[in-house]
Amino acid sequence: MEEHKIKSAWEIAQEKIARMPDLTSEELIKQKEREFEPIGEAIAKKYLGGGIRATELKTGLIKYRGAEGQIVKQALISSLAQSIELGNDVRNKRAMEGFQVFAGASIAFEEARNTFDSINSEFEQEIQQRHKMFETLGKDKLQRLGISGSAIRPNVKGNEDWQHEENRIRQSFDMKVDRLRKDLVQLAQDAQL
Amino acid sequence: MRLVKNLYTYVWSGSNNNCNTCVFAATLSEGRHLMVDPGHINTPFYQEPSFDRLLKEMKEDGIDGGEIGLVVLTHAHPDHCEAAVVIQDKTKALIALHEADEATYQVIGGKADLYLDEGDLLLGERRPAKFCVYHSPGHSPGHITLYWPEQKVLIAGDVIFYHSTGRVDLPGGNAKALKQSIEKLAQLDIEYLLCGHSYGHPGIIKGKEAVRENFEFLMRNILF
Repeated sequence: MEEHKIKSAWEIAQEKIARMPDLTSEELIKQKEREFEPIGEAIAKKYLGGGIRATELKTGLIKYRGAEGQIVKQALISSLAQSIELGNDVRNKRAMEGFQVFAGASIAFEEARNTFDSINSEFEQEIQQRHKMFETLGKDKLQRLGISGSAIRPNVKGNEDWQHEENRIRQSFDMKVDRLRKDLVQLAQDAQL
Repeated sequence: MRLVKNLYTYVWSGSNNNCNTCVFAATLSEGRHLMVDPGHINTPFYQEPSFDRLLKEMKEDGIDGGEIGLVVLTHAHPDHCEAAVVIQDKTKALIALHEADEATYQVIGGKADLYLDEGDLLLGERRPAKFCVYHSPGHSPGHITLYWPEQKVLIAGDVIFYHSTGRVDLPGGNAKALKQSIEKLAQLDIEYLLCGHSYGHPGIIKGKEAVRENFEFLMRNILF
């Protein structure tokens, strides 16, 4: 008589897994990316938030070798690149210092940094000019309502028209900033750990 | 109640906490009014309809609440500013406060149209009335006081009360800053000192002598 063995849930699961085909190399890469990208992003986040110093960025990568190390590094420098935002001087300075750790003090990196400074200063100048114009318009409007004097300052940043204007100016710089982000990522990628 | 010229004061007399309010009638273009600190909409706990009561009292003085053109907030605590959101919504009045209190005002859904820094505030078109805005932090970081030199009136908000001062234990409070604010205001020539709350006193300190005595009391007993 055939003996029927009662299988545990664990054993049934193991059998099912054994019947499944192996992961393709593409799936394996994707799986690794899913696993290691968040690590690089987390290191960048911690660094940008002031949790670690620029010099500690490389030490954070030491424990990840080979393909895994590359994924972590790629995610880290992509996050640094994405954190660059015109007008956000504190964060931009930090992001650039982070890039320098990877890219080194090369001429190419200095050029990229100078290009960014020049784009940023062009952006800030335009923002300042338009902000001043909005402020003047706001004061004229207040004057018509019988409100004037040195104490008053219209709330320009709370004005919807200004928010649209600021977005428009920001978007007009998008292409330049994106190109610069790509250059920085390339420089940091090319450099050896 | 008309205090002097076109300045009306509304001293809160309900059971719960709410602030006193001032109205400068017909001081803006097209006869619109300036209101300082409209207070709560309804008081907490007892839900007294404080803002409706204010509008009723104003109406009795011939002032239409629908014609408010500017609301100045001495600071952004809800017992001073909550009703400003309703006024802005219903009358399109502009809301003014110090930028350092803006974040607190946003918590109750408020939106400032203009900021007030230390300096002159001129209201009216042909012969504008001049007010001096003082940044008076301590009770809150963006607390302002409003001085009307022509009539020697100081709207003190929650900086100075009768024989007392505003508390400094709320977020952004600072005892040292409050002391400095009061010392600065003590230099002004004041005939009427309008307190943000009455706290067992009529809420208006009248006469130079009484004002001076109050400052001296604060310096001697509270700000030493």
